[in-house]
Amino acid sequence: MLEGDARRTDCPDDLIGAYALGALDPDDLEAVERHLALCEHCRQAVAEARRTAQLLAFSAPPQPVPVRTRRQLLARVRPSPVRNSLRFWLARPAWALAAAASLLALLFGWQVVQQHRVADRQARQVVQANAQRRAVVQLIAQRDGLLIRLQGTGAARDAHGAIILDPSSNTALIAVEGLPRPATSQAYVVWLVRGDQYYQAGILPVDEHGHAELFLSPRESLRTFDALAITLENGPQVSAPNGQPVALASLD
Amino acid sequence: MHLSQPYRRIFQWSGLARRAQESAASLERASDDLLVQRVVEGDLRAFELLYDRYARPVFSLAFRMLGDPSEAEELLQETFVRLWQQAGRYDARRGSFGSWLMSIAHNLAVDALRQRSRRPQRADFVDLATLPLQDIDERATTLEAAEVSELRDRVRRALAQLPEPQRQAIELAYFAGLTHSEIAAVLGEPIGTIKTRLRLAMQKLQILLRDHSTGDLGDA
Repeated sequence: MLEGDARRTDCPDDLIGAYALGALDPDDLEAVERHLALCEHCRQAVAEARRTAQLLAFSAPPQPVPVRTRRQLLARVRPSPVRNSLRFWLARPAWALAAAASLLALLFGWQVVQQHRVADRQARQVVQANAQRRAVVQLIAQRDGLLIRLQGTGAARDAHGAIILDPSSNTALIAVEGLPRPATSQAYVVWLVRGDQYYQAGILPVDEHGHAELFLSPRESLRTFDALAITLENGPQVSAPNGQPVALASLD
Repeated sequence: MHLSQPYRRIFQWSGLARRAQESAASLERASDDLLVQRVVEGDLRAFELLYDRYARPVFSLAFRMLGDPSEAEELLQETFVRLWQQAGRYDARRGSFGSWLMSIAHNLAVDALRQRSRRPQRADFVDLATLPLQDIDERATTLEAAEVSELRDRVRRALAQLPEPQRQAIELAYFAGLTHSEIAAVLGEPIGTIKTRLRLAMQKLQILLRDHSTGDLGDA
């Protein structure tokens, strides 16, 4: 049906298919688009022709996909790590941080399953402190613990790990691997972040394999903090983060 | 993620690992539309499942159009980056997810072709099926959406039913991104002849593919 005063006989039926294929030369293209602005009948014809044209895409001979493309793609779309400062991230809306944390928690859970075999082999190489082990038992026994993935950035971009968070007992365990050993005078400092305030939560010790674990049991409720951050500082005795950000996770 | 043995056992006892496994399995059976919704919410696992289902048709299309494996890989990545960034724009009422994604890939490929200096002799396509690849993504083959392979056969059969000059005109328009006048120049035919061939070819394809062009694709 035509709108306005355009007449059905003006419809460029012979060009609709080529329009859907994107094959019109500029003059024809302009004429067809002018007409489409007025003609519902032709707009419907274009929509139908376009659905057919889109199917042509599937007719390409199937090719094997290089596996590296997946790796490169996932590296492109994974959440960007901290770039300039912790405040860059903490300035993000709370809902964005919450969504990111959920995504990371899901990803972590999946990775635990997928990398089971690898973890098995690596697990035998690590000795853990009994006190921390007991703490984890207590955490998990509550069965409402949260897993939040940690991804390193900057000089520690190969580092990754997780925070096991148990709000009911107000405890958390940070487990990271792939951390570069800090220089003698340096230390990885863990911060609990609330708004613009940073509270030092401890020093993250790193063994010769780059593994690090730290058990947290802060006096204040973990629920009152927005994020957990790790920075590389020029010494353990610092009252505010001045060094390079290493990792950040939302606690929302 | 490395965890020591006692910690890993604790995870298993707590059921966290089992729940994660169940969640992953359920997602694998989800429809395209549900996965897209999850991608809108930032679910990277859902995104990767859509990649499993559609990486191969997207890559194959890019390869068919660009004739260069490196450019095709780049286009494959760019198509899925667009999906990650713009999944909210997909409207299931306007067509299937697969068609929508392939349109993104096609538009990107046409843009790439038009950025090159036009080489009408590209009508003689290289045989792309012989590309040697050392490192193949098996998931993109085994988990490809079942409908993709069915549709591939169906559309190829439809194209094979066209008279050769019409099929050639369609392929030059769609896969080489050429216009009426450019096709006419490549084939050395009058432009009116090319217009007629494209019109007749599209009319016939619309009849042959009618149920697919109005139906749904990809609800795995």
